[in-house]
Amino acid sequence: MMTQIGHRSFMQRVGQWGRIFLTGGGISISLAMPQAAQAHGVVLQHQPVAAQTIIAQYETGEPMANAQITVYAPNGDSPWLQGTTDQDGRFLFTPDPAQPGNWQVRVRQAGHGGIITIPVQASVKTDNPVAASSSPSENLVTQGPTEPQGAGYTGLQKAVMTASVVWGMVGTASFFARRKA
Amino acid sequence: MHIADGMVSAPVCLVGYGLTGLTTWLSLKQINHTAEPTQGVPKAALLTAAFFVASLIHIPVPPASVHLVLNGLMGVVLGYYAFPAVLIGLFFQAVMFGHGGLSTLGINAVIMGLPALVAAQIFRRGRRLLQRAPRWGLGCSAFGAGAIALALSVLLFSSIVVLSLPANLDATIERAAILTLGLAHIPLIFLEGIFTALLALFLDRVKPELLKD
Repeated sequence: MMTQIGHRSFMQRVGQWGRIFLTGGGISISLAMPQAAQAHGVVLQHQPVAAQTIIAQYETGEPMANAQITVYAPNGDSPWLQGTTDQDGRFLFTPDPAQPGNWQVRVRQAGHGGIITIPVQASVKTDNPVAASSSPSENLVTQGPTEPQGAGYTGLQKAVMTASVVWGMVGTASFFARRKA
Repeated sequence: MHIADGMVSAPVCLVGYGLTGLTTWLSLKQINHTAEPTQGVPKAALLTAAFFVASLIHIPVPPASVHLVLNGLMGVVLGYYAFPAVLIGLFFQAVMFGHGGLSTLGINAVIMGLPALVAAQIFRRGRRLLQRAPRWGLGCSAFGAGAIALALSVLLFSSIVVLSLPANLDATIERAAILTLGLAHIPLIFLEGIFTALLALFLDRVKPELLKD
């Protein structure tokens, strides 16, 4: 309370011109010391990498949120990377360019899930690994997206497939019913 | 409810196939002891078609989504034919739509087929016990058979998945997800029980010989 009273009385004493002077002085000091501000700056760079996005969905289109992901490198028995999908069922990872081959990604949630194989092959070998990593299209080639079995059918395809199986079963029923008659 | 390829270890798959082979043999043996073994084939074929289609019918139960199983209904109507019918239905589901898998066909048949045989016994014994009120007895035993069969399937599925968790998996997250899925099946358990009871009552009225042993 005492401090507030003291502050109010000081500002009242300084007046409007005094406040303008104090504010302008503060800005001038800040602009006059660019070197001091740069000492606390950050350095931002960007580097392109060949990342893979795993999109995990149930067949209803519902994302597999928080599903567990296990990534296996080629010829690797132990997991190379583990994580969980985000709320949209997505998981992003960058395969190691030094390990070309079939990368396997296992998605699992409550006993449901599947395994997807991502073929990664080294097409160009360079002596400069830094330069190679900056052009992933040359160093790391990933083939088109692979889809798990059963996914990607249109509604019409599913209807025809279902109808064909049901037709076969109805035919079986009819055959045995006729034999009996 | 279907365990996909790669979700359980090879020994679990082998045990599943062993149990499925044994149960199929026992079921076929029982069917062969009947006066006319092919008599039940038409209704078995039709219910296999219904079982095959049922897995495509999803019911949203937030936060999960469940699908019809109808294994209790299969047990009530088919008796010993239920296990081979479930096996054939699962095979087509795996081949056509990737529901489950061929390596896990055996374990999936155990999960859904054995409760179907239990449902057949529940229905038959329940009906005998409640002979004094035939309609109520029929409805109650069919409801119990339909509901208990699915509950048993959920229990078997959860147990197998929990007991065969890979070492590198976060068991806490997986157990929580399985618990959520199990709870999401509770409304479906009642739904399938009611559906089985209604169908049994309907068949008893229009074609009672379909429900005979």
